[in-house]
Amino acid sequence: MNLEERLRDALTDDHLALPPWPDATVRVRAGIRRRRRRTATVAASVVAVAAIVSTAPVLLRGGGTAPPGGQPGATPTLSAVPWLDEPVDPAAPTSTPSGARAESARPCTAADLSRTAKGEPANAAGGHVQNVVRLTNVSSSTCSLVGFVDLIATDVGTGTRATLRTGYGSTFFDGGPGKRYPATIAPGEDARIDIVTGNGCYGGLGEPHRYRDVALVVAGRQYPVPGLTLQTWCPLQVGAWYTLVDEPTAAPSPRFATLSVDVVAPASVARGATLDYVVTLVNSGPVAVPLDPCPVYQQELWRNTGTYRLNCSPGEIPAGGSVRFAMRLAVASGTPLGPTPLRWDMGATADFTVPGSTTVTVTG
Amino acid sequence: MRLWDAPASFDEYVRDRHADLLRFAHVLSGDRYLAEDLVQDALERAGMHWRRIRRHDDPEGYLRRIIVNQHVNGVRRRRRERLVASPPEQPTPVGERRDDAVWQLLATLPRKQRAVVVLRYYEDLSEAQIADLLGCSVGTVKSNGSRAMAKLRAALAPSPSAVDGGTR
Repeated sequence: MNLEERLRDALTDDHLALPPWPDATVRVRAGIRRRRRRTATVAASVVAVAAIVSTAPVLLRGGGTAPPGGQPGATPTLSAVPWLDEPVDPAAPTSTPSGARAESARPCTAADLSRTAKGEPANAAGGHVQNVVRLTNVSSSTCSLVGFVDLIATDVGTGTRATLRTGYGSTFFDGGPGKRYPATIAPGEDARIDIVTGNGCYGGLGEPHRYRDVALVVAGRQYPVPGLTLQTWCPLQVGAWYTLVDEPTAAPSPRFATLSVDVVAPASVARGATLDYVVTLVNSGPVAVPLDPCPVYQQELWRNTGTYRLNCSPGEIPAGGSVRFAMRLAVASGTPLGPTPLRWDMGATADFTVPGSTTVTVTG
Repeated sequence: MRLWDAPASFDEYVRDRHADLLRFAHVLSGDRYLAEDLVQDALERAGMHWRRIRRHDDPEGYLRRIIVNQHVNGVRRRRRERLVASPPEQPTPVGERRDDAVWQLLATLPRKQRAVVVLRYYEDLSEAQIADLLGCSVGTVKSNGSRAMAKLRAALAPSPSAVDGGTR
């Protein structure tokens, strides 16, 4: 047998086949969701930085509190906070329920979190055990825990204490409608992370690895998890931070109660064109309205609707003042000609609470 | 359908094809865990753009291209699919590989040379097809292939002492 034949024979050996994944679609879809979230976060960060840079001179000149108004045909977006192209899926499990938690907030620091974590086995299925570990927000404001953690533990067999090498990302218990990523936690609330052990590897043969004195490493600080022990035949899997959708939350805050909306758009727009317009949020109340957590809004022209995150770079709507936000909407080519309502509505959640509207004449 | 969802046909594709992709990635990389990394990564990338990818004639080719290029470029999601410090002993698979010597020697080749060998003798691709897939010239494919084969031939050739012993 010559070398070429030998190579073909060796490479097509059936022993090189790997066992298929029993949860192939689940693990791949979990990975796709993770990638989407990462992409959205990075894009939002870039746009936010750009927005801050570009709006800083305007805000310093007081342009951010210019009164609403505009003239037909004029470009109404001057001196406004730039539009943020960050669509939000209101039906996604990661969207925020009415009056409850926001999707993201400032990153949690070590000082925001309880000094120890609570951990316990929660579920077992398919040869996997889900150990849920919780950290509590002990600060006075909402923050987000994003991504993964490192684990430090003592190997029961050898007595060695070291950082465990773990698989990050999709775990057997990932996904599902009950979890919300990232973990945005109000004061007193818990963020959760799954540490998943398994007995389905190597046929459950041999001795498992056992670990005690487990600690999470978050933002450079160790958080012991008293009482948690891990026993696994498989590589440990660590999921991403999450919160529970149906976890009790603080009472809804009527933080937008003092806001009203003015929508100013060009008098006319052509089918298929991009409509640039300006929304002014006016705060008639005596205290500033914070834009953290950052709200989302919905815009609608005929059947063309979209839900987006507001560009929250101004940080707040000042007491007695207003902030102008540039908006953008693609006018569908099938939009009927003539006067058409342009509706805009904002809320902290998918329940929209701060409505505004104007009329735009669609031309051919 | 949620904004982020790939269509149901993607699920079917994953269910039907991931085992073959795992095998291909295993042959390519020589490491089952790296193979799983590569396939997971490729499927995630494909799933994000599935509507566009499935319009092409050969989504499988697209997937394999991702796997090969990620491997050749040495990309690995280092923080995602790592192993525990010292995993339990893996039982010897039932039966042995037919030609373990060749398998071991393949592991000594640089990634690009190994990729050329695998694409040539496992995938039965021509040099032009390999060049297209790797994004290099046919000449580069030829040189990598000939270097790899020379190394394999030299390693598999009987040693002089064995030859001498046999002739005595």
